[in-house]
Amino acid sequence: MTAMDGDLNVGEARRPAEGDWRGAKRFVLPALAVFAVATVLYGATVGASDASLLELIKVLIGIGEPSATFAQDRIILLELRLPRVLMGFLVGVSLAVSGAVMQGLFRNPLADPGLTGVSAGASLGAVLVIILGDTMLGPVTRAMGPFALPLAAFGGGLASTWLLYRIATQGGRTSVAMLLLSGIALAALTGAATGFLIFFADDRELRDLTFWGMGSLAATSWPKLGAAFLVTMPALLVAPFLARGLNALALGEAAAFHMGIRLQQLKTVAIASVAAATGASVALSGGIGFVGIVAPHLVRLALGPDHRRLLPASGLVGGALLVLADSAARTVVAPAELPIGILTAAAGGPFFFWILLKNRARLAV
Amino acid sequence: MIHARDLTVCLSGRPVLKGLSIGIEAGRLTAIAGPNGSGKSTLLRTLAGELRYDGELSIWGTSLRNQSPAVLALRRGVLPQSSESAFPFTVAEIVGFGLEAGARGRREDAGLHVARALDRVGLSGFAHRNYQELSGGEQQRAQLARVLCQIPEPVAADGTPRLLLLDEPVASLDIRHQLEIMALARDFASKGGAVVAVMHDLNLTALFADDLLLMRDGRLVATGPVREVMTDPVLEKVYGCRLRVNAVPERGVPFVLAQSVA
Repeated sequence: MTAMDGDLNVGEARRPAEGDWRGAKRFVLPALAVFAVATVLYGATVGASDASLLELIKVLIGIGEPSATFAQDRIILLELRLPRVLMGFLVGVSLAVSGAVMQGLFRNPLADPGLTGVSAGASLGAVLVIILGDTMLGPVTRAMGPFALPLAAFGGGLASTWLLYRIATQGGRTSVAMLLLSGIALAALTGAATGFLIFFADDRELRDLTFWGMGSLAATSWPKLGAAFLVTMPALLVAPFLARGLNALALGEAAAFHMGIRLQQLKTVAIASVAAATGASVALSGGIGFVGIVAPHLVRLALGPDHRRLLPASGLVGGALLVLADSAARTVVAPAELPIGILTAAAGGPFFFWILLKNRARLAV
Repeated sequence: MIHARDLTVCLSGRPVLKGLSIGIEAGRLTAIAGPNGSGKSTLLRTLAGELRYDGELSIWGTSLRNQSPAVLALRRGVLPQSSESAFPFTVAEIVGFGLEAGARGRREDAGLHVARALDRVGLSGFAHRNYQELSGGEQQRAQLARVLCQIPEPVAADGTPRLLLLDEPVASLDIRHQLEIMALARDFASKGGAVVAVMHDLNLTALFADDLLLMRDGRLVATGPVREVMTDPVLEKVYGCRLRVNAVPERGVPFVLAQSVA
């Protein structure tokens, strides 16, 4: 260890190789961004109707002739398909980023808003608004307009994330068992409360609830998208600032504190942003599972666990995945439509098993 | 550099440190020793700023209570007893965290600093290995490299001595690496920094430390230069067993031979 010069040369010799890899990694984020834009465009071109996005753009910029069905196509594209595809992207980004932030906060690659009961808490908030929105909470929901649903889900998500953190984390350590078992308890509790509310719901409320609960992006409109955007944006914008803290936290709370991280602040912001992003997603699309675990995991495999890359890359991958899943949901059985939740669960379930098998030894509790 | 008066710390309502008064100087390696549960690690964590305390504790002339985590991170590094990583970071990434936390911040030549720190702890070829797959001793040395990146020079540019806190730094190391790591700590102190290390091995302590704080049951039993403190009656009182302190013939360094229990 004292032979500085000799050994330093070894270090130098390794650097070009490292430089190449780092250079390669630099292109992954822009490439993912391009891929994400491409999936959004693809999502906007496929569907039950053969309305063409290309034709619409041509007509709008004045280089194409409108076809016979132009007026109808225009409505389908601008009022139905585009907001829906963008909403799918937003929900995918939100779920993936919340998953990655949660995994960092709980220091556990299996934490996921769906598995830990955070989505269940958020849906309790949403159900409250759907069922009591016309009666008990009438004045409040009318005053908040399209914000009522995402904000209520945010509140439910916040309460459950906070509770989960208090219960499952002790002295800075979170055991997988505690995390998942608290998640089960939370889901049971919120499920009971939701069931209680449904018991008192009338027919119209029940119908609203059923459509919402199937996990679909079908009922998207521009105002809904706008509201969701405003609730999730602060959470997504703050995520990059959590990266250094979450990196340090991977070594434990004490080590993070030693490296100058304000733990309380980090936790508060992380919990609030997970709740906001998950809440808005749940409010608008119901139960879409596994994006929060699949996207970050894929990114860790390709780019490593550094949160400075993990958070933006997971967001892009999650958004793209959900747009693709929604495109499939719209086209596979066209003109009918599959609930997207079925697709994400069918793909995410086996993926989750694979993660479990791979980490068998480490996850034994 | 560190002054504590009547320092008391409770953990879950139970007093663990009971009115300690100590002084620790820059430029010296101070060892904390004592039986299991005597409060050694708690004292170290208190010095690191992790725990609430009663009494007075000042470092660099300022009460520790008034120092923010970010400012502390520029001046003191802490090597924990063991440290797991929740995610499969490479060794170089983990060492790089220290660089970001420390005074150097992000730099163009970050890779060089990381390589140099790994070299100092004898992990030159390990930069791209998965930290989770290292042995306990290798992880310990990687963490030391991280800490050395966080507080690279023993004395800051403005002349403030930096503080290196080590919690049983050699507990999981083989004998050669024990000597190497202790030599690194020794070097940090000799160049003007302050080093405080929790130690179980009294012979290594005698070999490398300047001062010794002996604790028992949350109190200070003896303190002073190693050669003055390390005597049969003092050690027997602290550890509650019979032992004999001899001196290494040519160097006069004490060494301890255990004799029997009580």
